[in-house]
Amino acid sequence: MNKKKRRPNTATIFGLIIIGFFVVVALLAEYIAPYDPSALGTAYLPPSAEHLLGTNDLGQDIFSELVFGTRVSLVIGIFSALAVTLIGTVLALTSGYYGGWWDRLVAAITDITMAIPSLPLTMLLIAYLQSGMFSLIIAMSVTAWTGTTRILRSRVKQICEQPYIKIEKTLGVRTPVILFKHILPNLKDILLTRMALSVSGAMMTESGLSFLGLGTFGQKSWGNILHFAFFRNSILRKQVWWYLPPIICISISVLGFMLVGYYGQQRAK
Amino acid sequence: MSETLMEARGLTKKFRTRDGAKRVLVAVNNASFVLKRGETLGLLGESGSGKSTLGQMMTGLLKPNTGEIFYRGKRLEYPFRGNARRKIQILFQHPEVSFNPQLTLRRSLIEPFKLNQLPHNDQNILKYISRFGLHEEHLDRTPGELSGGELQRAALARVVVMEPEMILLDEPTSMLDVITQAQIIHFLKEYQKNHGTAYIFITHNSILANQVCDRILDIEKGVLSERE
Amino acid sequence: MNAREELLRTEKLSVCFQGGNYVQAVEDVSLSVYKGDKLCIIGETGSGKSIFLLSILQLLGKSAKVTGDALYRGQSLFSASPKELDKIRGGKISYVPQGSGNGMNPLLRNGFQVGEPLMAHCGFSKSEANTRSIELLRKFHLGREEAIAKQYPFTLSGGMRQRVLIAMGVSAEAEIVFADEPTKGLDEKRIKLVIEAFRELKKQTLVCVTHDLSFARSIASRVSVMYAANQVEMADADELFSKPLHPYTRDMIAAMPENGLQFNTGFAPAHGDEKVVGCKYRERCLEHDSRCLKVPPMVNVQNRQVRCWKYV
Repeated sequence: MNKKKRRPNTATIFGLIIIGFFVVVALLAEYIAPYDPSALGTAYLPPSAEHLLGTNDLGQDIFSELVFGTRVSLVIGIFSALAVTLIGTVLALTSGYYGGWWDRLVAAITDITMAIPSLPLTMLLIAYLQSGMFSLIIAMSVTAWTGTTRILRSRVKQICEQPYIKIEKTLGVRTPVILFKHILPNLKDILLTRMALSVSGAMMTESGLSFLGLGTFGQKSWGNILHFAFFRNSILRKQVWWYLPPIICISISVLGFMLVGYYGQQRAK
Repeated sequence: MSETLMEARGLTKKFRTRDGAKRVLVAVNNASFVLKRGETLGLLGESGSGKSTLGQMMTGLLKPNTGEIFYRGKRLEYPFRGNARRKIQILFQHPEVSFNPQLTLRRSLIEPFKLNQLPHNDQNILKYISRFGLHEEHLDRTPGELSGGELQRAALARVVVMEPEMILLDEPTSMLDVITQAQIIHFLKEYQKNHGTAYIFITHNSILANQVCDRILDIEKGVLSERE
Repeated sequence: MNAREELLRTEKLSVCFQGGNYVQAVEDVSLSVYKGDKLCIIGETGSGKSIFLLSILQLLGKSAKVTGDALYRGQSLFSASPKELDKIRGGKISYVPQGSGNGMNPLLRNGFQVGEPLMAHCGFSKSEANTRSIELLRKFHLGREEAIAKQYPFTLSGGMRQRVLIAMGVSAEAEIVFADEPTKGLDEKRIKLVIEAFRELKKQTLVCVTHDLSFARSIASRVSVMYAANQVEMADADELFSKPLHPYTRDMIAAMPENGLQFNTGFAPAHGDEKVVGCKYRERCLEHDSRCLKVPPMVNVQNRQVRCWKYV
C-alpha cells in the first residue's frame, strides 16, 4: 500500500500563518502596544508618529486598543469553541454509541435548540447573567453547540457501524476504551475542522454582539472598538483609521480560522 | 461429539423504515436453529435475506424483538456478558475496516491478550500470528499497509486469542480473490481441526457453502429452512 | 480454418501512473478480439484489467501515461480525432462501468437512460426507444418494468442499478460491449440473471473484465488472464479451464470452490511499491527457477499464449 504523504495545501498554511500571527500579537500584547489602552489622553487625534492609528473619543491610543483587543477577541472565540466542541463531543459519543432513548433525547433537544433563534436567546442570556467574558462565552455556547453535535453524532454513528467497532464489542473491550481509543481518534479530522469553524463563528458572533453594545465591558475586543467608532460617528467624520482597522482584523482572523477549517473538511472526505 | 452449543428459538427482528412510508420491515422472522459443537453450519441467502441481521443477533450485537438464544443451556441476556461474550466471536466481510485504521497491527492485537490476561509482548503475539502466516514486519504496519488476505488472517488471529467456542463468519471471503479465499478457508479448517471450534458460515455462494459446511440453513426473506 | 474478422487489437498497450509514486498499472498487453468472441479478462483486484479496458477507450485521466496502440477495425483509436472517437464510443463500442450502478445519471429516468443510446446511435424515436428499453429491462428480470422505466435511479437497489447499466450497454446493439466487473457486489441469484442476459448476446462481441472465475466460465468463449499488470495466459475458455498452463492460472482454478478450494502457494504480497524483478509471480510460484529472475516472453503453445519460462 502506498503511504499517502500528508501534504497540507496552501490554503491551510495561509490560514495557519494568519492564526499564528494573531496569537503571537495576543501573547506579546504588552510588548507590542506602545500605550496602555485604558490611558486617557487627547481625543480624536488623527494618525501620527506618536499615535499610529490616532486616538478615540477618550484619547486612548487606537493601535494599542487593537493590539490588546486581539487578546480579548481570541480568548472569547477560542474558549467558546472549546466549550462547544466539548459539549458536542460528549453528546455525540454517548448518543452515537449507546443509541436508544438517550440518542432520541439528544436528537430532540438538538432540533429544538436549532429552531430557537440564537441571537435573541444569546442577548437575553447576556442581559440576565452578570457582564463579563465568562458570561459572554456561556451565552454564546448555549446555542452554538448544535451544529457540531449534529455532525459529530452522525460521524460517530458511521464509525459504530464499522466492523472493527463491532469486533471490539464482541472481544469484550470495555466501553470507555472503545470510546476513547477507537472512536475519538477517528474523529480527529472532523473535530479540528469543527473547532476551527466554531472559533470563526464565535468571533463573528462576539464582534456582532459587542458592536451592538452587548459584549464585554472593561476589556475591549475588536467589536467593542468598532462599537464606539460607530456610535461616536467616526464614519460621518471620515475617521477611517478608527473604524477600518477593527473590521480588517475581524475579517482576516475569521478568514484564517475558516481556511484551516475548510481544508480539514476537504481532507475528511 | 454432538453436544448442542447454541440454540435459538423464534428469533424475530423488525425494523421501522424511515422512508416516509413508515412500513415495518421484518428482517428475521421466527428463526430457530441448533448449532452443535465443532460443526460448520452454513447460512445461505441472497442479499437482503436477513442473514447478517440473524448473525448479529447470534453474537449479541443486536437485540431481537422476540425470541431467545441459549448458549450451553443457559439463556442469554443482551448484551452478552462473561463467558458467553468471550466464547462467541465474529469475523466480517471487509477486512480493511476490521481494524482501527489509526492503529498499527501491534497495538490492535495487544487488546485481546490483555482481555484474556495473557502476556502481550511481541514474542507471545508472534507465537499466535505465525500460525496464520504473519510475521514481525506485519506488526508495525497499519491496516492501510496490509492486503485484504493479511488483514483477514490477522482478524482471525485476534479472535482466537479469546479461545472461542464459536465464530460467526459473515461472508469472510467475498471481498478476497479466489486464491486468498482458499487460503483463509484452509486456516479456518486447520484451526477448527485443532480446537473443535464451531463456525457459522454466512454466504450467498451455494457452491462455497457446500464445500465448507457440514449443514446448511437456507434463509429467504428472514425465514430459515434446513437443507437436506 | 475460417478466417475470423478481427474487430479490436491492442499492440503493446502499457499504462503507468505518475502520481506520488510511479505505478505500472498495465504492462505490454497485446491481444486481438474477433467478431463473435466472448472474451473475459480475469484477474485479481489490482491486476490492471479494468485500467486496461478504460485505456482502450481513452477514458483514463490525465495522470495516466498510455503507450502502445489500440485499433478498432484497423483504425488506431489513440490517433483518432475526438469526433471519430465519440462516434466509436457508444455507437460501435459500448461500455458498462463497474460500481453498483453509480454510473447512472441520477437526474434522468431509468427508461430514458436505457433508451438514450438507441436514440443517439440507432435513430430510434422516443416512443420506439421507450418500448425497446422496457423489453430490455424485462430481459434482466427487474420486475415491474413499466413502473421502473418511469422512475429515477435512486428508487432502485445497487444490484438493480447495475443491471440497468448492463441493459444500457447492450441496448444500442453496439458491435463490441465492454463490461467492467458486471457482477461485482451481486449475489448468486442475481449473477445468474446477468449470465442469462449475456448469453443472449448472440451476435454481439463481448469483452468482459471480471474477478469471478465461475462467471467467466459460464459466459466466455475465450479467456485472458492478467496478473500484476501483465497478461500471463490467453486461450479458448474450455481449454483454459480444463488444462491451464500458467502456474497462476492453475493455482486460481484449483482454488475455485467448484474444484475444492485447493491452496498450495505462497501469500499474495501487500500492494507495495517495491519493484519486482523478473516474473511477477515468481515469489508465489512453486515451480520457479533461476530463469524467472528475468521477465518471461509471451510464447505460443499450440493455439494458445502463455507468459512463462516453462514453455519457452
